[in-house]
Amino acid sequence: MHVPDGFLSPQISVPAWGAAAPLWVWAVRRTFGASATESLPALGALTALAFVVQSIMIPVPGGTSAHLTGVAVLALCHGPLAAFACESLVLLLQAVFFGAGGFTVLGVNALALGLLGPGAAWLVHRALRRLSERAAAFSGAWAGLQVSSLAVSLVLGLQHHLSSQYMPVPFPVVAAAMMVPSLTVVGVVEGLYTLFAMSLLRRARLLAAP
Amino acid sequence: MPLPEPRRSQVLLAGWIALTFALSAVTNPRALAIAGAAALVAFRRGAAGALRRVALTVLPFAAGLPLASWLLAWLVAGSPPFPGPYLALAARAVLIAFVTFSLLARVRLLPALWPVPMLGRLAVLALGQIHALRLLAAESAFGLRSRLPRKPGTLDVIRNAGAVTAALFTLSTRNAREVADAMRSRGFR
Amino acid sequence: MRALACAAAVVCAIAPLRAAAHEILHQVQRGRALAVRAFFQDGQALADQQAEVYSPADPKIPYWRGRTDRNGWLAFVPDVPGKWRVRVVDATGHGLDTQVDVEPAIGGPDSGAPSGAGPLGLALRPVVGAAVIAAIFGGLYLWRRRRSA
Repeated sequence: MHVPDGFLSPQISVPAWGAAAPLWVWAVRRTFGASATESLPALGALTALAFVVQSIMIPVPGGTSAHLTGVAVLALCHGPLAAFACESLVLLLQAVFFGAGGFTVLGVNALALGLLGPGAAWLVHRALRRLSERAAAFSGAWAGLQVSSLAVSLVLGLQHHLSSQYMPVPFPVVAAAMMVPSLTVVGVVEGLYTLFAMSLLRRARLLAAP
Repeated sequence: MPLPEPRRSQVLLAGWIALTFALSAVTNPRALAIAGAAALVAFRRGAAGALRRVALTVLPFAAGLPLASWLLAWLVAGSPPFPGPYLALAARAVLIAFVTFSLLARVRLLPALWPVPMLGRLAVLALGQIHALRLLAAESAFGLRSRLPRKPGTLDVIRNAGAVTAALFTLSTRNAREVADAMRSRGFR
Repeated sequence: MRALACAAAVVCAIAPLRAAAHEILHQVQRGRALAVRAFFQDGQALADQQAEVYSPADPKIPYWRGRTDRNGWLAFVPDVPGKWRVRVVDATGHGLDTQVDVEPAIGGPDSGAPSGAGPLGLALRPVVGAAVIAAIFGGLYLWRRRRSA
């Protein structure tokens, strides 16, 4: 789902870095700071799992790729800011050491996959929690993934709008390629993954019962 | 005039950031070709290794995606679209990856990141782990190869991943403790 | 450590486990070693004689020490390019003391992981990444906790 290096021009990637940088400072202080020591083990386990599920990706023509993100569960358990920090760490490691994603597009990827998606998941979960905890977690994760893929396809569409020389694929094609698998398959799997991970965490007593 | 060490790595890192952003703005295929040739000359030492890494990790995605998009655009439009921008898209991705891999191999990351404590800390933890774990992963792959009468395929790797995974996590737990102690004893705050 | 244990348990549950510890692994590389043969003028080999090899990086302590084989050959794997000193000492005090040039192509530093892993390494990428992340968080956690303790 994340955009590789060379798919977005500095017109987009530089402002995205500018927007993400202060958020990173804030999120990293809050998440990895001295006050959050006790939550680090659970965060680490979830982040490692997120890395694993994000490495398994299926390329999608016109869009980028389809894969789980595994960050919705981070947002639901530890707040959207922690999800943003952890997802950024995953993206950074993938970009610098494993050649997936990229450094110039790190801001865009972090905002789309780490902030908007988990943020939406967290909001939906909060709104629906009173009805049913499980349904809220599932629909939060599903909605978060839709928001992330919509954001990525919007950014790619914007790039096409700025320069069709640069990104030749128009927005409708990108959006269709990204959203169809995301709406039908990936979102559902992400929701199930989130449910599974949360029940596992609860069983391991790393998460308070609702 | 060669710069002293932490400064040199910092300059290289800053240059890399500027260069990748600049490269990500190039759309002209000829300019990309010239930039690619210049990068090959500038980073000729270790170029083969960097190219192999690019071919293994970046190329399938960076080349496959534009190709698939081109085919899709053909399908949608009914006639084959001009391939130039699609080629440029793939070339840009490959070029940036090559520059990144070559440059990071030349940078001493730890001294360079020293002035920013959080980044330095993360780099200490990440680099130490990655090196140890990559060695272990490669050794496990060799071990697997020596156990099997044939060349192990992906299926064999997946089947034996459990043993490797267990070893990796044992090692990473031990490493985490050692690195934490080492950082404390060296006065990290 | 609960998290690491938890992560390990999860990943191990996904993949079938096979124990494989304390193995001696090996690696074959062709065209990487340098062989030197010592022989007398009449063609007789300096067989089974003491020999030493000094790296250009350290001219004092031998890089390799051993005996020539039945045909007077010795072989070593250089790790840096440059002039390597090879000494073969005969029991009678005769001997060979020469310098061998090693080209950068042969003696290039064999850095990092043996990269012959190829697609195998690629298949293990998610696991390596996960272990790295687990170790990062584990390290941060332990370091913080001991500092506050």
